[in-house]
Amino acid sequence: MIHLRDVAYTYPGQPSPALADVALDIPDGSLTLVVGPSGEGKSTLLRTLNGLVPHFYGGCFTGSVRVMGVDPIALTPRRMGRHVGFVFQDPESQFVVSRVEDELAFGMENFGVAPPVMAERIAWGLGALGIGHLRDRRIETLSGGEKQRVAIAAALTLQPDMLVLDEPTSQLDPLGAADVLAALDDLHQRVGLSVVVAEHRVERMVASASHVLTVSGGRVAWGLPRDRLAGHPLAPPVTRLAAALGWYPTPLTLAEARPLVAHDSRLRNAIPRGSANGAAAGDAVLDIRDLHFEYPGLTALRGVDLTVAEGEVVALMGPNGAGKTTLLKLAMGLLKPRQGLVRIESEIVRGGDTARLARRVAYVPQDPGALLFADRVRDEVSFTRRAQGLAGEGDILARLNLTALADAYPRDLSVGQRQRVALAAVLAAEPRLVLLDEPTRGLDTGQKSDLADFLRGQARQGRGVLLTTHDVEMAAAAADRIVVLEAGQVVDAGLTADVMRRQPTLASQVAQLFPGSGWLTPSDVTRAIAARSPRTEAAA
Amino acid sequence: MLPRHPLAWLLWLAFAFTAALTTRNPLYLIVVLLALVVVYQAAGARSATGAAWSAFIRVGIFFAIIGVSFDALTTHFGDTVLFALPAHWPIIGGPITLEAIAHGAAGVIQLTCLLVAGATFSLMLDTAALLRYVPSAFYHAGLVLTIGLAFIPQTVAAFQDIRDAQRVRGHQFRAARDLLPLIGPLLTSGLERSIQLAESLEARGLGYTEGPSRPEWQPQAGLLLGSLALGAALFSLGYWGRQPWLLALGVAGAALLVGTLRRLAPSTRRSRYRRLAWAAADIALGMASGAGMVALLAIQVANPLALFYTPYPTLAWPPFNPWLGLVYLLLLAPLTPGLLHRESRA
Repeated sequence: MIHLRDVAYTYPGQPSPALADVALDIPDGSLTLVVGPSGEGKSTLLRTLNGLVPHFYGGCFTGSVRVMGVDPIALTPRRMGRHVGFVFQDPESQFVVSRVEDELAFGMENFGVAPPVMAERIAWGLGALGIGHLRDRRIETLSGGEKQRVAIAAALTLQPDMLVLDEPTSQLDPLGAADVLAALDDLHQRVGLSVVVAEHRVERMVASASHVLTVSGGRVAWGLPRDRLAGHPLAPPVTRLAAALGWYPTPLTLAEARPLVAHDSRLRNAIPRGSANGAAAGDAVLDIRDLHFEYPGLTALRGVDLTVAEGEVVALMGPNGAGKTTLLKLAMGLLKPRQGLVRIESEIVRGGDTARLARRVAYVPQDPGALLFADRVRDEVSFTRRAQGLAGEGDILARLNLTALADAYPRDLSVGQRQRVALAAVLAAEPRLVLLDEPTRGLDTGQKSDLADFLRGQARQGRGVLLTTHDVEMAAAAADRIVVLEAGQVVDAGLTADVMRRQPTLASQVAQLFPGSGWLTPSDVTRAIAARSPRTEAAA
Repeated sequence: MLPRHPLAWLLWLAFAFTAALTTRNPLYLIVVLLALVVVYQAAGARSATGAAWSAFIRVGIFFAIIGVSFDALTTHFGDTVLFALPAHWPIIGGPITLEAIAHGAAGVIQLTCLLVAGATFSLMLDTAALLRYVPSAFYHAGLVLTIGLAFIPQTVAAFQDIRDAQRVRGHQFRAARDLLPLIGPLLTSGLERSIQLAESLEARGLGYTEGPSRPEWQPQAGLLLGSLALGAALFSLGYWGRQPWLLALGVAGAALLVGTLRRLAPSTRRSRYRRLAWAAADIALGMASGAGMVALLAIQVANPLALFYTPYPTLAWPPFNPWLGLVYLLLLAPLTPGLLHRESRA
């Protein structure tokens, strides 16, 4: 059981608390989903459960915590390892040794578990996560989903009473994420393990959750999933759609929403036949023809064709390791293709001419922090403009709502704000083509929605936008077209609605709820209904 | 495939370092370097991690060449004068000699040997297997070392990503001050990664002890005092010779170090999952490396001139003993069939 009373915590040097007045009672054997905006206390709350807060971070902690009958603050995180298994967001950052079997043994060796017992538990952990075939593999050879399952199995071998996971699927492709979450659900159902998991893509876990914790501004509320998520801005798309359309009882899953769709007479008249037409696209900003590229010993791209026109947002999707980032690097001239052609506007890109292209291409890497080095946000912008021979700051800070943060230190900002600063830094020189590599990493639903709106705005200004993403809801909200890459080849391409119809694993919840309609997001549905009944638009 | 025995690789590394550090004869160093490069290629230089190590080696060679250039400009000794800089120029003024350049070039080869050997060892290293052979008292030091080795390729990869992102932004790296947009994010991302790993280690019970924890200042004070006493004794021996009081200081420092480490050892209470058996190929590697190292050390003691070479005062063709060349070729022992087979990397 998790029992928190009057918990408040403030990080060192921070003026306001990260957690305030937290009181919780979550029963044993529950699967608790933690939902909340980025940077508002989810990770802090999770780290309270094994004592990393306050022991690892310092700061000021008050209140009482009991987890599975023990006090993590008194016991310290080291000893809590036996009671609470903790899995972090980035699997790469938690591995210590080089082989799967040894990684599972590492925690047990720290606790002095006898070797024969270790062997039994390793066999059990591998079996529980369905990764027995990975036992002798080197960790660097695993996919993202496999790595995260290894991390969970490593936590399980200590036979904890509870498993705590901090956004374990944020870096995984849809299939990898589904594998990890299915494994968690199975552990909860079959083994009766208590699980607490923070997850931005709530729709993935809500069907299995017995409780939901919502965290906002350091304040925590908890209860049954339907009670907590009805009307919540970070609820699954079908739940938000239900709130807009006044459906009752509030559905949390597709299965619960389908009967309500059948009974809503407004939808019968509004559902369009066939998919929507894409936006009228202009001339090609990026034109890739028959592109081949090889790393030593690995063929990364085989005959890829791809076009991004001005005024168009294209989402490049596909599993981890499909070649998406390599394609972006070739488009920027950072790599030289073995065969094929890359053209930006009318100019042919040859490997190594990145400096010449910089005026026309903007690139935001997976980690926006890779760009940020200046003391102030405004200095990041003027740095790019100076590099391009432009004076002043331009108006990019205002366009990204960063004027109030212009003098802030970029690395002190939240994940979403950092993402916007990185965008401002690369867009400062008014490029024609914008490339983004997994831009939704760490963003919550609201921040993703803002980003999608911003990218649509860029397209309206005549820019071409190409983003790689695993996030189907982001692709649904932002992209005119989707190109699906697998093992270095384009396996599907077309209008977003058409690709989502053909590729169920890449379909948004609304696309799955209304197959063939061309609707992809809740606002698509409410807009279509509003076209017939203006009152519904106001509700959405 | 089963992992390769870490102690056999550790012996190989020691042999490679001994080979590179016991001579400045460029012919022997070239033989050593060629042997190491062949093993490095077979160990996975073309994998993703290997590519990061290769970049690290290139950076190392680049800085070594800068060092050599500085050396050549400041060492005005040797008979073969290539040209002379005005004598009134501070430090670099004077004759620039072929001997100084040759001496520096041998240093670059030496450093490259060390880098390639370290990269090969890192690529073949089975971290967990090695840590299981580290005595409990040294476990944390061993862990820090292996994590540090793993951080090198990760840092190189992060360096390349940041450099690419800044280049696309239009930044050009022309002078030292242009490195700030590279160094700042590199340091910050490295620190963030370190903090995440430290959190993970803490949450997984690293340093777990049963019973009350011992005050940390006691072992720290013991290790500090022991190291200081031993270091001071060794340092002073060079000046004052084998004075009894210096020997006593050294013995006391060593005893304090060993005693502190022994006191630390039981509190860690770690267990070891399994220790690898020595396969035939591992034995072959260990024996070849051990034999090679012993041979070099024996030659160094018995006939130091056999390995000695200096280009000063007049550059002359270095001597080459084919039997000694064969000893260096023992560095190719990892190519024993089957020893280098690794699973394919994704």
